[in-house]
Amino acid sequence: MTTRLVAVAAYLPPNSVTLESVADELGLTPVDVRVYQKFYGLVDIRVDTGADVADLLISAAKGIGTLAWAAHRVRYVVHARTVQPTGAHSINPLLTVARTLGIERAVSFAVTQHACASGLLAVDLAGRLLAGESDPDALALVLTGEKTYPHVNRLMPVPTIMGEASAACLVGRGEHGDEMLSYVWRAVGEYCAGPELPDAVRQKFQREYPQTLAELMREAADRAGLGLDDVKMVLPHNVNRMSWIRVAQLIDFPVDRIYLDNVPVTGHCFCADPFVNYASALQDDRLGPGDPYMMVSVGLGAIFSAMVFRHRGVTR
Amino acid sequence: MTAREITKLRLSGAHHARFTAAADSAADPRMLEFWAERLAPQGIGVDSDRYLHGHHNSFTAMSRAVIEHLRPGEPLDLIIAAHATPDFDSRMSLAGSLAAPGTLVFAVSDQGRLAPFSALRTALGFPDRPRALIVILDQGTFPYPDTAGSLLGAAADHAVGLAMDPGGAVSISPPRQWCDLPTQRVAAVLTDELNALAPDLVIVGSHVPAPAAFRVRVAPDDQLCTGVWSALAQELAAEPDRPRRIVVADHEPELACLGLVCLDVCPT
Repeated sequence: MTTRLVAVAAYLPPNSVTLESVADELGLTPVDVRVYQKFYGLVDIRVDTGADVADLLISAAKGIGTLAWAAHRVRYVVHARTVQPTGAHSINPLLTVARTLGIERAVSFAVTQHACASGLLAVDLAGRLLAGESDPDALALVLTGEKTYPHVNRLMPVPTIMGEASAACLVGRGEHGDEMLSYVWRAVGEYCAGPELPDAVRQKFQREYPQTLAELMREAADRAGLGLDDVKMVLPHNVNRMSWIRVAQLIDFPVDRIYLDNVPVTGHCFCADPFVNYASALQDDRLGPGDPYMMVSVGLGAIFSAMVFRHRGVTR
Repeated sequence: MTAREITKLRLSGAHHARFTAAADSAADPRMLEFWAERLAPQGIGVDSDRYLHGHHNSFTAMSRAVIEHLRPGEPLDLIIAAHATPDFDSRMSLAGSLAAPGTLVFAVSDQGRLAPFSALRTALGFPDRPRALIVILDQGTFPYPDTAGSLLGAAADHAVGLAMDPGGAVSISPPRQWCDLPTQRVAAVLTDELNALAPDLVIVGSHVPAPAAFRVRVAPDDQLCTGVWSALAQELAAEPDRPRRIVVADHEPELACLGLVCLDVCPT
Protein backbone atom coordinates (compact mmCIF):
# COMPACT_ATOMS: atom_id res chain seq x y z
CA MET A 1 0.00 0.00 0.00
CA THR A 2 1.20 3.49 -0.73
CA THR A 3 0.63 6.91 0.73
CA ARG A 4 -2.41 8.69 -0.65
CA LEU A 5 -3.96 12.11 -0.45
CA VAL A 6 -7.51 11.21 0.52
CA ALA A 7 -8.97 14.71 0.82
CA VAL A 8 -7.65 18.24 0.53
CA ALA A 9 -9.27 21.53 1.49
CA ALA A 10 -8.00 25.08 1.37
CA TYR A 11 -8.98 28.18 3.27
CA LEU A 12 -8.52 31.55 1.63
CA PRO A 13 -9.28 34.32 4.11
CA PRO A 14 -11.98 36.57 2.65
CA ASN A 15 -9.98 39.78 3.09
CA SER A 16 -7.64 40.80 0.30
CA VAL A 17 -4.81 43.13 1.18
CA THR A 18 -3.06 45.01 -1.62
CA LEU A 19 0.68 45.13 -1.95
CA GLU A 20 0.51 48.94 -1.93
CA SER A 21 -1.15 48.95 1.46
CA VAL A 22 1.71 47.02 3.11
CA ALA A 23 4.53 48.54 1.07
CA ASP A 24 5.74 50.80 3.86
CA GLU A 25 5.70 47.97 6.36
CA LEU A 26 7.84 45.89 4.01
CA GLY A 27 10.15 48.71 3.02
CA LEU A 28 9.04 48.68 -0.62
CA THR A 29 9.23 51.88 -2.64
CA PRO A 30 6.49 52.72 -5.18
CA VAL A 31 8.88 51.53 -7.90
CA ASP A 32 9.43 48.26 -6.02
CA VAL A 33 5.67 47.78 -5.80
CA ARG A 34 5.28 48.19 -9.56
CA VAL A 35 8.13 45.73 -10.18
CA TYR A 36 6.61 43.24 -7.77
CA GLN A 37 3.25 43.51 -9.50
CA LYS A 38 4.30 43.54 -13.14
CA PHE A 39 7.50 41.50 -13.09
CA TYR A 40 6.92 39.05 -10.26
CA GLY A 41 3.12 38.80 -10.47
CA LEU A 42 2.66 39.65 -6.78
CA VAL A 43 -0.46 41.79 -6.36
CA ASP A 44 -2.62 40.92 -3.34
CA ILE A 45 -2.42 38.65 -0.32
CA ARG A 46 -5.13 37.15 1.83
CA VAL A 47 -5.02 37.91 5.56
CA ASP A 48 -7.40 36.93 8.33
CA THR A 49 -6.73 39.74 10.77
CA GLY A 50 -8.87 38.41 13.57
CA ALA A 51 -7.66 34.82 13.33
CA ASP A 52 -4.83 33.12 15.14
CA VAL A 53 -2.95 30.19 13.64
CA ALA A 54 -5.36 27.67 15.17
CA ASP A 55 -8.26 29.48 13.50
CA LEU A 56 -6.53 29.29 10.12
CA LEU A 57 -5.96 25.56 10.47
CA ILE A 58 -9.47 24.86 11.74
CA SER A 59 -11.00 26.81 8.87
CA ALA A 60 -9.06 24.69 6.37
CA ALA A 61 -9.84 21.39 8.11
CA LYS A 62 -13.54 22.17 8.25
CA GLY A 63 -13.43 22.36 4.47
CA ILE A 64 -12.94 18.59 4.41
CA GLY A 65 -16.56 17.53 4.43
CA THR A 66 -15.71 13.94 5.33
CA LEU A 67 -13.58 14.80 8.35
CA ALA A 68 -16.44 14.75 10.83
CA TRP A 69 -17.36 11.14 10.15
CA ALA A 70 -13.73 10.08 9.70
CA ALA A 71 -12.52 11.79 12.87
CA HIS A 72 -12.25 8.54 14.83
CA ARG A 73 -9.81 7.22 12.21
CA VAL A 74 -7.40 10.14 12.57
CA ARG A 75 -4.31 8.91 14.46
CA TYR A 76 -1.96 11.82 13.80
CA VAL A 77 -2.28 15.55 13.34
CA VAL A 78 0.85 17.07 11.84
CA HIS A 79 1.28 20.82 11.44
CA ALA A 80 3.94 21.47 8.83
CA ARG A 81 5.51 24.83 9.58
CA THR A 82 7.92 27.17 7.87
CA VAL A 83 8.81 28.93 11.13
CA GLN A 84 9.18 26.86 14.25
CA PRO A 85 6.56 27.39 16.96
CA THR A 86 7.21 30.30 19.28
CA GLY A 87 5.39 31.57 22.31
CA ALA A 88 4.31 30.33 25.66
CA HIS A 89 4.54 26.61 26.31
CA SER A 90 0.96 26.61 27.52
CA ILE A 91 -0.40 28.09 24.27
CA ASN A 92 -0.56 25.16 21.90
CA PRO A 93 -2.48 25.81 18.68
CA LEU A 94 -2.58 22.12 17.78
CA LEU A 95 -4.37 21.28 21.00
CA THR A 96 -7.02 23.86 20.15
CA VAL A 97 -7.31 22.46 16.63
CA ALA A 98 -7.62 18.87 17.81
CA ARG A 99 -10.22 19.68 20.45
CA THR A 100 -12.28 21.79 18.08
CA LEU A 101 -12.27 19.10 15.42
CA GLY A 102 -12.99 16.26 17.86
CA ILE A 103 -9.69 14.50 17.20
CA GLU A 104 -8.06 15.16 20.56
CA ARG A 105 -7.04 11.53 20.95
CA ALA A 106 -4.78 11.77 17.91
CA VAL A 107 -1.07 12.36 18.47
CA SER A 108 -0.41 15.96 17.39
CA PHE A 109 2.90 17.61 16.69
CA ALA A 110 4.61 20.13 14.42
CA VAL A 111 7.22 19.34 11.77
CA THR A 112 9.77 21.99 10.90
CA GLN A 113 13.23 22.71 9.50
CA HIS A 114 12.36 22.19 5.85
CA ALA A 115 10.90 25.70 5.98
CA CYS A 116 8.27 26.12 3.25
CA ALA A 117 9.04 22.60 2.00
CA SER A 118 7.94 21.09 5.35
CA GLY A 119 4.43 20.45 3.96
CA LEU A 120 5.64 17.86 1.48
CA LEU A 121 7.85 16.31 4.15
CA ALA A 122 4.83 16.07 6.47
CA VAL A 123 2.80 14.18 3.85
CA ASP A 124 5.63 11.67 3.49
CA LEU A 125 5.96 11.36 7.29
CA ALA A 126 2.22 10.86 7.63
CA GLY A 127 2.34 7.94 5.23
CA ARG A 128 5.28 6.43 7.06
CA LEU A 129 3.56 6.80 10.43
CA LEU A 130 0.38 5.18 9.11
CA ALA A 131 2.39 2.26 7.73
CA GLY A 132 2.87 1.22 11.35
CA GLU A 133 -0.82 1.24 12.21
CA SER A 134 -2.80 -1.98 12.43
CA ASP A 135 -5.91 -0.29 11.03
CA PRO A 136 -5.58 0.05 7.24
CA ASP A 137 -8.19 2.81 7.35
CA ALA A 138 -6.18 4.95 9.78
CA LEU A 139 -5.66 8.54 8.67
CA ALA A 140 -3.37 11.46 9.37
CA LEU A 141 -4.37 15.09 9.10
CA VAL A 142 -1.62 17.28 7.67
CA LEU A 143 -2.16 20.99 8.25
CA THR A 144 -0.36 23.92 6.65
CA GLY A 145 -0.70 27.66 7.10
CA GLU A 146 0.76 30.29 9.41
CA LYS A 147 0.22 33.84 10.50
CA THR A 148 2.33 36.34 8.67
CA TYR A 149 4.25 39.17 10.26
CA PRO A 150 6.22 42.06 8.80
CA HIS A 151 9.52 40.45 9.80
CA VAL A 152 8.75 37.35 7.71
CA ASN A 153 8.60 39.43 4.56
CA ARG A 154 11.60 41.47 5.57
CA LEU A 155 13.67 38.31 6.11
CA MET A 156 12.85 36.67 2.79
CA PRO A 157 15.89 36.81 0.52
CA VAL A 158 13.85 36.58 -2.68
CA PRO A 159 11.07 38.78 -4.03
CA THR A 160 7.86 37.47 -2.53
CA ILE A 161 5.14 38.43 -0.10
CA MET A 162 3.65 36.16 2.52
CA GLY A 163 -0.06 35.51 3.05
CA GLU A 164 -2.29 33.52 5.36
CA ALA A 165 -4.12 30.97 3.22
CA SER A 166 -4.10 27.52 4.82
CA ALA A 167 -4.77 23.94 3.79
CA ALA A 168 -5.69 20.61 5.32
CA CYS A 169 -4.99 17.17 3.86
CA LEU A 170 -6.22 13.80 4.98
CA VAL A 171 -3.51 11.27 4.27
CA GLY A 172 -4.18 7.55 4.21
CA ARG A 173 -2.81 4.26 2.95
CA GLY A 174 -6.05 2.67 1.86
CA GLU A 175 -7.51 2.32 -1.59
CA HIS A 176 -8.89 5.82 -2.06
CA GLY A 177 -7.21 9.03 -3.01
CA ASP A 178 -4.27 10.25 -5.04
CA GLU A 179 -1.33 7.86 -4.99
CA MET A 180 2.09 9.26 -4.11
CA LEU A 181 4.53 8.13 -6.80
CA SER A 182 7.71 9.82 -5.64
CA TYR A 183 9.16 12.27 -3.15
CA VAL A 184 12.58 13.78 -3.57
CA TRP A 185 14.36 16.50 -1.64
CA ARG A 186 17.73 18.12 -1.57
CA ALA A 187 19.28 20.09 1.29
CA VAL A 188 21.93 22.57 0.21
CA GLY A 189 23.86 23.37 3.37
CA GLU A 190 25.75 26.28 1.88
CA TYR A 191 22.57 28.34 2.28
CA CYS A 192 21.73 27.33 5.87
CA ALA A 193 21.93 30.92 7.13
CA GLY A 194 18.71 31.60 5.21
CA PRO A 195 17.80 35.24 5.57
CA GLU A 196 21.26 36.12 6.89
CA LEU A 197 23.20 34.98 3.84
CA PRO A 198 26.02 37.32 2.85
CA ASP A 199 25.23 39.18 -0.36
CA ALA A 200 27.60 37.13 -2.52
CA VAL A 201 26.16 33.84 -1.24
CA ARG A 202 22.62 35.13 -1.64
CA GLN A 203 23.32 36.03 -5.25
CA LYS A 204 24.80 32.58 -5.81
CA PHE A 205 21.66 31.03 -4.35
CA GLN A 206 19.48 33.08 -6.66
CA ARG A 207 21.62 32.08 -9.65
CA GLU A 208 21.60 28.38 -8.79
CA TYR A 209 17.99 28.18 -7.63
CA PRO A 210 16.31 27.57 -11.04
CA GLN A 211 18.84 24.95 -12.14
CA THR A 212 18.72 23.09 -8.81
CA LEU A 213 14.94 23.07 -8.86
CA ALA A 214 14.86 21.95 -12.49
CA GLU A 215 17.17 19.02 -11.73
CA LEU A 216 15.07 18.03 -8.73
CA MET A 217 11.84 18.12 -10.75
CA ARG A 218 13.37 15.89 -13.41
CA GLU A 219 14.48 13.48 -10.68
CA ALA A 220 11.00 13.45 -9.11
CA ALA A 221 9.40 12.62 -12.44
CA ASP A 222 12.02 9.98 -13.16
CA ARG A 223 11.52 8.28 -9.80
CA ALA A 224 7.80 8.26 -10.46
CA GLY A 225 8.49 6.38 -13.68
CA LEU A 226 7.46 9.37 -15.75
CA GLY A 227 8.94 12.00 -17.96
CA LEU A 228 8.25 15.65 -17.24
CA ASP A 229 6.07 15.66 -20.36
CA ASP A 230 3.78 13.21 -18.61
CA VAL A 231 3.17 15.59 -15.70
CA LYS A 232 -0.19 17.26 -16.29
CA MET A 233 0.19 20.03 -13.71
CA VAL A 234 2.86 21.44 -11.48
CA LEU A 235 1.42 22.77 -8.21
CA PRO A 236 4.13 25.12 -7.00
CA HIS A 237 4.96 27.25 -4.02
CA ASN A 238 3.89 30.78 -4.90
CA VAL A 239 7.20 32.53 -4.40
CA ASN A 240 6.67 34.65 -7.52
CA ARG A 241 5.73 34.17 -11.17
CA MET A 242 9.06 35.11 -12.72
CA SER A 243 11.09 32.43 -10.93
CA TRP A 244 8.69 29.80 -12.26
CA ILE A 245 8.98 31.09 -15.80
CA ARG A 246 12.74 30.62 -15.55
CA VAL A 247 12.32 27.08 -14.24
CA ALA A 248 9.77 26.30 -16.97
CA GLN A 249 12.26 27.43 -19.60
CA LEU A 250 14.98 25.23 -18.13
CA ILE A 251 12.83 22.11 -18.14
CA ASP A 252 11.03 23.01 -21.38
CA PHE A 253 7.69 22.81 -19.62
CA PRO A 254 4.64 24.86 -20.65
CA VAL A 255 4.09 27.69 -18.16
CA ASP A 256 0.34 27.22 -18.45
CA ARG A 257 0.76 23.79 -16.83
CA ILE A 258 2.28 25.40 -13.75
CA TYR A 259 -0.58 26.56 -11.57
CA LEU A 260 0.28 30.23 -11.01
CA ASP A 261 -3.26 31.63 -10.79
CA ASN A 262 -2.99 32.10 -7.02
CA VAL A 263 0.29 34.04 -7.03
CA PRO A 264 -1.46 37.43 -7.47
CA VAL A 265 -4.33 36.39 -5.18
CA THR A 266 -2.81 34.78 -2.10
CA GLY A 267 0.91 35.51 -2.28
CA HIS A 268 3.23 32.89 -0.82
CA CYS A 269 1.50 31.12 2.07
CA PHE A 270 4.30 29.29 3.87
CA CYS A 271 3.87 25.49 3.46
CA ALA A 272 0.29 25.72 2.17
CA ASP A 273 0.82 26.78 -1.45
CA PRO A 274 0.96 23.40 -3.24
CA PHE A 275 -2.14 22.21 -1.39
CA VAL A 276 -4.07 25.44 -1.92
CA ASN A 277 -3.12 25.25 -5.58
CA TYR A 278 -4.29 21.65 -5.71
CA ALA A 279 -7.71 22.65 -4.41
CA SER A 280 -7.88 25.50 -6.92
CA ALA A 281 -6.75 23.29 -9.82
CA LEU A 282 -9.50 20.80 -9.00
CA GLN A 283 -12.07 23.57 -8.86
CA ASP A 284 -10.86 24.77 -12.26
CA ASP A 285 -11.03 21.23 -13.70
CA ARG A 286 -7.32 21.34 -14.45
CA LEU A 287 -6.77 17.80 -13.15
CA GLY A 288 -8.57 14.72 -14.40
CA PRO A 289 -8.69 11.10 -13.27
CA GLY A 290 -5.34 9.40 -13.80
CA ASP A 291 -3.43 12.64 -14.35
CA PRO A 292 0.03 12.73 -12.80
CA TYR A 293 0.88 15.99 -11.10
CA MET A 294 3.82 17.35 -9.15
CA MET A 295 3.81 19.44 -5.99
CA VAL A 296 6.97 21.53 -5.61
CA SER A 297 8.28 23.71 -2.84
CA VAL A 298 11.53 25.28 -1.75
CA GLY A 299 12.35 26.16 1.83
CA LEU A 300 14.78 28.76 3.04
CA GLY A 301 17.90 27.16 4.38
CA ALA A 302 17.80 25.63 1.66
CA ILE A 303 15.57 22.62 1.02
CA PHE A 304 14.28 21.84 -2.45
CA SER A 305 11.51 19.23 -2.67
CA ALA A 306 9.09 17.73 -5.15
CA MET A 307 6.39 15.09 -4.81
CA VAL A 308 4.56 13.35 -7.66
CA PHE A 309 1.03 11.98 -7.35
CA ARG A 310 -1.44 10.33 -9.66
CA HIS A 311 -4.89 11.86 -9.38
CA ARG A 312 -7.58 9.30 -8.65
CA GLY A 313 -10.28 11.72 -7.60
CA VAL A 314 -10.49 12.84 -4.01
CA THR A 315 -13.32 13.46 -1.62
CA ARG A 316 -14.10 17.12 -1.26
CA MET B 1 -1.64 1.77 18.83
CA THR B 2 -0.31 -1.51 17.51
CA ALA B 3 2.62 -1.39 15.17
CA ARG B 4 2.43 -3.02 11.77
CA GLU B 5 4.96 -3.10 8.97
CA ILE B 6 7.62 -1.72 11.27
CA THR B 7 10.51 -3.28 13.07
CA LYS B 8 11.96 -2.20 16.38
CA LEU B 9 14.58 0.48 16.56
CA ARG B 10 17.89 -0.55 18.05
CA LEU B 11 19.76 1.91 20.22
CA SER B 12 23.53 1.79 19.96
CA GLY B 13 24.41 4.79 22.10
CA ALA B 14 22.97 7.54 24.28
CA HIS B 15 24.66 10.71 25.46
CA HIS B 16 23.59 13.64 27.61
CA ALA B 17 25.45 16.91 27.11
CA ARG B 18 25.12 20.05 29.26
CA PHE B 19 25.84 23.45 27.78
CA THR B 20 26.58 26.58 29.75
CA ALA B 21 26.87 29.99 28.10
CA ALA B 22 28.07 29.61 24.53
CA ALA B 23 31.41 31.35 24.03
CA ASP B 24 30.95 32.05 20.35
CA SER B 25 27.29 32.86 20.02
CA ALA B 26 25.58 36.06 21.07
CA ALA B 27 21.99 37.05 20.57
CA ASP B 28 21.27 39.39 17.71
CA PRO B 29 19.32 42.34 19.17
CA ARG B 30 17.43 42.56 15.87
CA MET B 31 15.73 39.33 16.86
CA LEU B 32 13.87 41.20 19.61
CA GLU B 33 11.73 42.72 16.87
CA PHE B 34 11.03 39.24 15.52
CA TRP B 35 9.93 38.07 18.94
CA ALA B 36 7.90 41.19 19.65
CA GLU B 37 5.85 40.77 16.48
CA ARG B 38 5.19 37.09 17.10
CA LEU B 39 4.32 37.45 20.78
CA ALA B 40 2.12 40.53 20.56
CA PRO B 41 -1.03 38.66 19.46
CA GLN B 42 -0.70 36.46 22.55
CA GLY B 43 -0.45 39.52 24.76
CA ILE B 44 3.05 38.53 25.86
CA GLY B 45 5.73 41.14 26.25
CA VAL B 46 9.37 40.67 25.29
CA ASP B 47 11.89 40.37 28.12
CA SER B 48 14.99 41.65 26.35
CA ASP B 49 17.32 41.11 29.34
CA ARG B 50 16.36 37.49 29.54
CA TYR B 51 17.06 37.06 25.84
CA LEU B 52 20.27 39.02 25.56
CA HIS B 53 21.80 37.42 28.66
CA GLY B 54 20.80 33.81 28.01
CA HIS B 55 23.12 30.93 27.16
CA HIS B 56 22.59 31.20 23.38
CA ASN B 57 23.23 27.56 22.61
CA SER B 58 21.71 27.10 19.19
CA PHE B 59 20.03 23.89 18.12
CA THR B 60 22.73 23.55 15.49
CA ALA B 61 25.61 23.87 17.97
CA MET B 62 24.07 21.46 20.46
CA SER B 63 23.21 18.95 17.76
CA ARG B 64 26.71 19.08 16.34
CA ALA B 65 28.19 18.43 19.78
CA VAL B 66 26.00 15.37 20.27
CA ILE B 67 26.75 14.08 16.78
CA GLU B 68 30.46 14.54 17.38
CA HIS B 69 30.22 12.50 20.57
CA LEU B 70 28.07 9.66 19.26
CA ARG B 71 28.89 9.49 15.56
CA PRO B 72 32.19 11.29 14.90
CA GLY B 73 32.84 11.35 11.20
CA GLU B 74 30.26 8.68 10.45
CA PRO B 75 27.49 9.06 7.88
CA LEU B 76 23.94 9.32 9.14
CA ASP B 77 20.78 8.51 7.23
CA LEU B 78 18.40 10.43 9.47
CA ILE B 79 18.56 13.12 12.15
CA ILE B 80 15.38 14.09 13.99
CA ALA B 81 15.50 16.94 16.47
CA ALA B 82 12.86 17.02 19.19
CA HIS B 83 12.30 20.15 21.25
CA ALA B 84 9.80 21.83 23.57
CA THR B 85 11.11 25.40 23.44
CA PRO B 86 12.13 27.26 20.28
CA ASP B 87 15.67 27.82 19.07
CA PHE B 88 16.97 31.14 20.35
CA ASP B 89 17.53 32.27 16.76
CA SER B 90 15.30 30.51 14.29
CA ARG B 91 16.89 32.06 11.22
CA MET B 92 19.50 29.30 11.01
CA SER B 93 18.21 26.17 9.27
CA LEU B 94 19.03 23.03 11.22
CA ALA B 95 18.39 20.91 8.13
CA GLY B 96 20.74 23.12 6.14
CA SER B 97 23.45 23.38 8.74
CA LEU B 98 23.56 19.60 9.31
CA ALA B 99 23.13 18.82 5.62
CA ALA B 100 25.20 15.96 4.26
CA PRO B 101 24.63 13.85 1.18
CA GLY B 102 21.78 11.46 1.86
CA THR B 103 21.05 12.68 5.40
CA LEU B 104 17.43 13.64 6.04
CA VAL B 105 17.13 16.22 8.84
CA PHE B 106 13.97 17.63 10.35
CA ALA B 107 12.45 18.53 13.72
CA VAL B 108 9.31 17.70 15.69
CA SER B 109 7.90 20.03 18.32
CA ASP B 110 4.72 21.64 19.65
CA GLN B 111 4.23 18.65 21.87
CA GLY B 112 6.08 19.71 25.01
CA ARG B 113 7.80 16.88 26.82
CA LEU B 114 6.38 14.27 24.46
CA ALA B 115 8.16 15.45 21.30
CA PRO B 116 10.92 12.81 21.76
CA PHE B 117 8.31 10.04 21.82
CA SER B 118 6.95 11.24 18.47
CA ALA B 119 10.51 11.56 17.14
CA LEU B 120 11.16 7.91 18.03
CA ARG B 121 7.84 6.85 16.54
CA THR B 122 8.66 8.76 13.36
CA ALA B 123 12.12 7.19 13.17
CA LEU B 124 10.41 3.80 13.16
CA GLY B 125 8.81 4.81 9.88
CA PHE B 126 12.21 4.94 8.20
CA PRO B 127 13.44 1.34 7.91
CA ASP B 128 15.24 2.59 4.81
CA ARG B 129 17.28 4.98 6.99
CA PRO B 130 18.65 2.72 9.73
CA ARG B 131 21.57 4.89 10.91
CA ALA B 132 19.49 7.44 12.74
CA LEU B 133 20.05 9.96 15.49
CA ILE B 134 17.40 11.53 17.67
CA VAL B 135 18.61 14.79 19.21
CA ILE B 136 16.49 16.01 22.10
CA LEU B 137 16.99 19.68 22.93
CA ASP B 138 16.18 21.90 25.90
CA GLN B 139 17.38 25.47 25.52
CA GLY B 140 16.17 28.24 27.78
CA THR B 141 17.03 31.44 25.93
CA PHE B 142 13.62 32.74 24.99
CA PRO B 143 12.47 36.28 25.71
CA TYR B 144 9.23 35.75 27.57
CA PRO B 145 8.02 34.49 30.91
CA ASP B 146 6.52 31.04 30.70
CA THR B 147 5.32 28.88 33.54
CA ALA B 148 6.42 25.60 32.03
CA GLY B 149 9.46 27.04 30.29
CA SER B 150 10.71 28.52 33.54
CA LEU B 151 11.11 24.99 34.85
CA LEU B 152 14.21 24.82 32.72
CA GLY B 153 17.13 25.42 35.03
CA ALA B 154 19.09 28.60 34.55
CA ALA B 155 22.40 26.81 34.94
CA ALA B 156 22.55 25.04 31.59
CA ASP B 157 20.92 23.98 28.36
CA HIS B 158 20.70 20.27 27.61
CA ALA B 159 20.87 17.92 24.66
CA VAL B 160 20.44 14.16 24.63
CA GLY B 161 21.41 12.07 21.64
CA LEU B 162 19.94 8.65 20.95
CA ALA B 163 21.90 6.85 18.25
CA MET B 164 20.23 4.02 16.35
CA ASP B 165 21.65 1.37 14.12
CA PRO B 166 20.67 -2.21 13.32
CA GLY B 167 23.45 -3.62 15.51
CA GLY B 168 22.50 -1.67 18.63
CA ALA B 169 22.30 -3.60 21.90
CA VAL B 170 19.08 -1.98 23.08
CA SER B 171 15.81 -2.86 21.41
CA ILE B 172 13.18 -0.10 21.47
CA SER B 173 9.54 -1.04 21.13
CA PRO B 174 7.19 1.32 19.26
CA PRO B 175 6.46 4.24 21.59
CA ARG B 176 2.89 4.60 22.77
CA GLN B 177 1.04 7.82 23.50
CA TRP B 178 -2.28 8.45 25.18
CA CYS B 179 -3.76 11.85 24.37
CA ASP B 180 -6.76 13.51 26.01
CA LEU B 181 -5.87 11.59 29.15
CA PRO B 182 -7.07 13.31 32.33
CA THR B 183 -4.33 13.80 34.89
CA GLN B 184 -6.19 11.72 37.45
CA ARG B 185 -6.05 8.71 35.10
CA VAL B 186 -2.31 8.86 34.40
CA ALA B 187 -1.33 6.68 37.35
CA ALA B 188 -3.86 3.97 36.50
CA VAL B 189 -2.92 3.80 32.81
CA LEU B 190 0.77 3.74 33.66
CA THR B 191 0.33 1.01 36.26
CA ASP B 192 -1.63 -1.17 33.86
CA GLU B 193 1.09 -0.85 31.25
CA LEU B 194 3.88 -1.53 33.72
CA ASN B 195 2.11 -4.60 35.05
CA ALA B 196 2.01 -5.96 31.51
CA LEU B 197 5.61 -5.05 30.69
CA ALA B 198 7.20 -6.01 34.05
CA PRO B 199 10.23 -3.74 33.71
CA ASP B 200 13.32 -3.89 35.89
CA LEU B 201 13.41 -0.08 36.01
CA VAL B 202 10.94 2.71 35.31
CA ILE B 203 12.21 6.19 34.45
CA VAL B 204 9.49 8.80 34.86
CA GLY B 205 9.23 12.56 34.49
CA SER B 206 9.36 14.53 37.70
CA HIS B 207 5.63 15.20 37.75
CA VAL B 208 4.50 11.68 36.83
CA PRO B 209 3.08 9.82 39.83
CA ALA B 210 5.77 7.31 40.82
CA PRO B 211 4.34 3.83 40.31
CA ALA B 212 4.36 1.56 43.33
CA ALA B 213 5.85 -1.94 43.17
CA PHE B 214 8.51 -1.00 40.62
CA ARG B 215 12.05 0.28 40.89
CA VAL B 216 11.69 3.92 39.84
CA ARG B 217 14.12 6.62 38.82
CA VAL B 218 12.64 10.11 38.69
CA ALA B 219 14.08 12.44 36.05
CA PRO B 220 15.57 15.82 36.97
CA ASP B 221 12.94 18.50 37.47
CA ASP B 222 14.92 21.30 35.79
CA GLN B 223 14.65 19.90 32.27
CA LEU B 224 11.67 19.73 29.94
CA CYS B 225 11.84 17.19 27.15
CA THR B 226 15.39 15.98 27.86
CA GLY B 227 14.70 14.94 31.47
CA VAL B 228 13.77 11.28 31.20
CA TRP B 229 16.19 10.72 28.33
CA SER B 230 19.17 12.13 30.21
CA ALA B 231 18.28 9.75 33.04
CA LEU B 232 18.15 6.90 30.53
CA ALA B 233 21.57 7.84 29.14
CA GLN B 234 23.02 7.77 32.65
CA GLU B 235 21.44 4.40 33.43
CA LEU B 236 22.79 2.85 30.25
CA ALA B 237 26.24 4.32 30.84
CA ALA B 238 26.35 3.02 34.42
CA GLU B 239 25.58 -0.58 33.52
CA PRO B 240 25.97 -1.03 29.77
CA ASP B 241 26.22 -4.81 29.86
CA ARG B 242 23.44 -5.77 32.27
CA PRO B 243 20.45 -7.25 30.42
CA ARG B 244 17.30 -5.58 31.66
CA ARG B 245 14.03 -4.01 30.65
CA ILE B 246 13.62 -0.27 31.13
CA VAL B 247 10.41 1.68 30.62
CA VAL B 248 10.61 5.44 30.02
CA ALA B 249 7.41 7.42 30.63
CA ASP B 250 6.61 11.11 30.69
CA HIS B 251 3.47 13.15 30.99
CA GLU B 252 2.68 16.55 29.48
CA PRO B 253 0.04 18.10 31.68
CA GLU B 254 -0.47 21.08 29.34
CA LEU B 255 -1.59 18.67 26.61
CA ALA B 256 -3.08 15.90 28.78
CA CYS B 257 -0.86 13.33 27.06
CA LEU B 258 1.22 10.43 28.37
CA GLY B 259 4.10 8.84 26.48
CA LEU B 260 5.73 5.49 27.16
CA VAL B 261 8.45 3.45 25.54
CA CYS B 262 9.93 0.09 26.50
CA LEU B 263 13.62 -0.71 25.98
CA ASP B 264 15.25 -4.12 26.30
CA VAL B 265 18.99 -4.10 26.95
CA CYS B 266 20.35 -7.23 25.31
CA PRO B 267 24.16 -7.07 25.00
CA THR B 268 25.60 -9.62 22.61
